[in-house]
Amino acid sequence: MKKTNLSVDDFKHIPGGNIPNVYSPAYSFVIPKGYNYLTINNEPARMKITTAQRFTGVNTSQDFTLTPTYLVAPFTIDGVQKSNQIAVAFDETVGKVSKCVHYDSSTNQLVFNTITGGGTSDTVSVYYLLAEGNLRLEVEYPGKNVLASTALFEGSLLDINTKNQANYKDYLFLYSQSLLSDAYKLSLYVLTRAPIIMDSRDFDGVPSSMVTNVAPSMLYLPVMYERTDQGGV
Amino acid sequence: MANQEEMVVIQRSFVLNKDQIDYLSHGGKGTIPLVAGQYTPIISWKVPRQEKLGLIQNPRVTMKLYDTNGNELPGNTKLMISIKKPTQQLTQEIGNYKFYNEYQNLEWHQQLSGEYDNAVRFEMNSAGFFPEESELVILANVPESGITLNWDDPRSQINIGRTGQPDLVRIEV
Repeated sequence: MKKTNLSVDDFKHIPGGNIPNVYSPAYSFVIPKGYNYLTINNEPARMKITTAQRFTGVNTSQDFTLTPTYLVAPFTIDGVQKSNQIAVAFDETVGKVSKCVHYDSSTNQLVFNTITGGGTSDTVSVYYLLAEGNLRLEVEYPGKNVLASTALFEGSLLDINTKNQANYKDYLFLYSQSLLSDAYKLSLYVLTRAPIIMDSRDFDGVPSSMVTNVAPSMLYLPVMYERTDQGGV
Repeated sequence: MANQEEMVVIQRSFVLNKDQIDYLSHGGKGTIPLVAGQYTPIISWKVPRQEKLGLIQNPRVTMKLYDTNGNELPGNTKLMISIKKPTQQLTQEIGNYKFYNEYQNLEWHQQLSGEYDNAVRFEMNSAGFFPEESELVILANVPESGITLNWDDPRSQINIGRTGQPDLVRIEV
């Protein structure tokens, strides 16, 4: 078996998949035909889960402050707030990005710098680390319902998104190795009231000027894979 | 081949918070008036059937609790983790109380970092299990009257256990 890792790009958004306040799938990775995947539990995984919100009539020609509906995770390393990894604003009117420069946890406000060419009443979509709800990484078998016992990982979004996952004290490990074959799914289940948008291009109504994923999300799941004997067409 | 009569036990690290709505029994949403000088249950989770929760002796519990005026609970609020078994009418004390003070002083990123690990640990009599149908209850004892805890404030959150670590484990039989 060879080593690789799964990232946000491997996972497909399930439109309407994550229902508010119900454990439901937001993103899935379907094992391709003719391949076996093995999840690894002795190497730490990395996860940063983001949500999205659109604001209208924002003056982006100067520094601007936005208050998202859902609680933002104050990601911090060694006491220094990593604002630029907490939130990113995308001015849909001019198609430019501004990273967050400050997050105030008492008011839940995000501060962004001026966007070059920004107008006085622009539409801005913001992608930020979510601090409400829980996450579960589930294995789904084809033709079966999800069993609770197949969760490879579960935890709180606040915890996952706030702590420094590079610190050995805070490593995130999957609980067990799991061999996944054809048509098995590895799914991100969430229980939260917010929509989970890991790739900014999955957000409803984004303009065509958004060509890359601007969300500060991250998925790094170490896996092994192999081609099976019956493999491929 | 696996014996059909073999008992399969699956143990997973787990976190209880106000979003675990399948477990939530009391609190976690709405407002809860707190009685001065008396322990009041602020949130509780009921262990489902065919499941057990295991708690280590010094579990890490992180929280921020706000009242209806938008202020945090006073620092000298006493907090306690208790158990209520299906056969019991009242909650049973299983550890020492802790003041809210530390939670007031520490921001989320500090509570969740390894540096302040010890500040957020509760002191229990021993490690132990919460059997099926029992309740894990958090009680708060505020020093002054007129305080109403507001769970609907998104900033009010509590986590029992640590993601990915065995402070709290869920055991399925």
